[in-house]
Amino acid sequence: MQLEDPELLHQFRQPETKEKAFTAIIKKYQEKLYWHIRRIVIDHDDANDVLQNMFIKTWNALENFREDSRLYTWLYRIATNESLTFLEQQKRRSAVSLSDVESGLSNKIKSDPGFDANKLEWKLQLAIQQLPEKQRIVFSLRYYDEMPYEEMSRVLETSEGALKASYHHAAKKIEDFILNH
Amino acid sequence: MEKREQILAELQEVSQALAQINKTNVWSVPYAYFTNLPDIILGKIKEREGSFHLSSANPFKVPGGYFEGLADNILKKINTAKSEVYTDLEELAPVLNTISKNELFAVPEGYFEQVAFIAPKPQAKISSLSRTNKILCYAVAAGITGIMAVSSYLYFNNDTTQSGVAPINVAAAVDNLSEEDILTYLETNSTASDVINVNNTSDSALEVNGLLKEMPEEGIREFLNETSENGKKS
Repeated sequence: MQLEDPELLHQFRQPETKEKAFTAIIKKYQEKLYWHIRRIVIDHDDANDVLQNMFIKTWNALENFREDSRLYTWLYRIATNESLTFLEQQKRRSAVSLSDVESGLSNKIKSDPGFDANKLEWKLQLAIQQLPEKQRIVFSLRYYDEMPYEEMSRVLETSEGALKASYHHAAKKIEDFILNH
Repeated sequence: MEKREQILAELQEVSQALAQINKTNVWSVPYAYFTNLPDIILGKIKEREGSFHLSSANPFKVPGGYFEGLADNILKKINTAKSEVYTDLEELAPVLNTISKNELFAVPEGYFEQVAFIAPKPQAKISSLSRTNKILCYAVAAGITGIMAVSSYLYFNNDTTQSGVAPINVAAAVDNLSEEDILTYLETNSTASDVINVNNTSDSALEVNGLLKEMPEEGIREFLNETSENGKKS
């Protein structure tokens, strides 16, 4: 049975239970965070790197975590920022524009062993990659993670109204893409 | 999390087509990935923390018990320095050691704070030479040097100023003499044969020159001086 976040944080602050509590936090959130990261960076190895780095940073930052926000919201924010930083670094390393990175992400989807261009689920993945970065993350958090706008607003530090508008625009664009491809 | 039905209803309002798509996960992860992930992450954290400890370790070493005895050693040195002064005075003037070293004189309140703000006395103005003045100095110096150089040259090379008699170019002077002057000279200063020869060859300037060559230069100079004096008198 999983412990509640406040209890896990309390145990984390005790030296004798620190590692155990941290392991429990990883187990509790690893899959949600992994898929959130994976949808942004697409490749498994990249997602693995980003996920591990974000948890290592969390280990150091968790001591100072103020419980005025929920742990899961805080973890999502770190994961999102780490993913975007990773894409930015990729762009700098290869000296290509963000649109090239996005087309690179589409190519990664197409090169996946399970890719099937006729399946709607794969078309949806390609459609998501056509979106601007911010819309892509908003759509992913809402559509896949089913995150309330209120939580999403804390993760992305954006107003709920702007997030709703962004989600609607994203959904319309995806629909257009799927219908026309 | 919001209820899935609410999110689906919202999506159906925006896009019917999208709402109908199955949310099946198309991606895959390696076998037992999530099972092993916590241990992998904790292993990396421990590894990094270990390296942090190593990097923060002090690479320098001090002798054993250095810090334990440091305070005593410093105090000992302070006391030694104090006792040296005290010992010197004991030999020189022991009574000085019995007098307190406390300051007896007082200074106005805030004096030392104000010292730093006492304006320095104005010093004599040191003005540098202007460009025009410099040129003038160089010109005067060059003029003096030039006067000295010319004076030196004249002093060492002008014999006239010493003897009062200008040097005579004999050859040129002889060329300027008239035939009559030469004959007069020969009549008064030459031997008889010279006079005969001259008379015989009075028309030949070459013969006259030949005769002149045989004459001593001192005699010619004497003659010329006399001639020039006569000329000036007449």
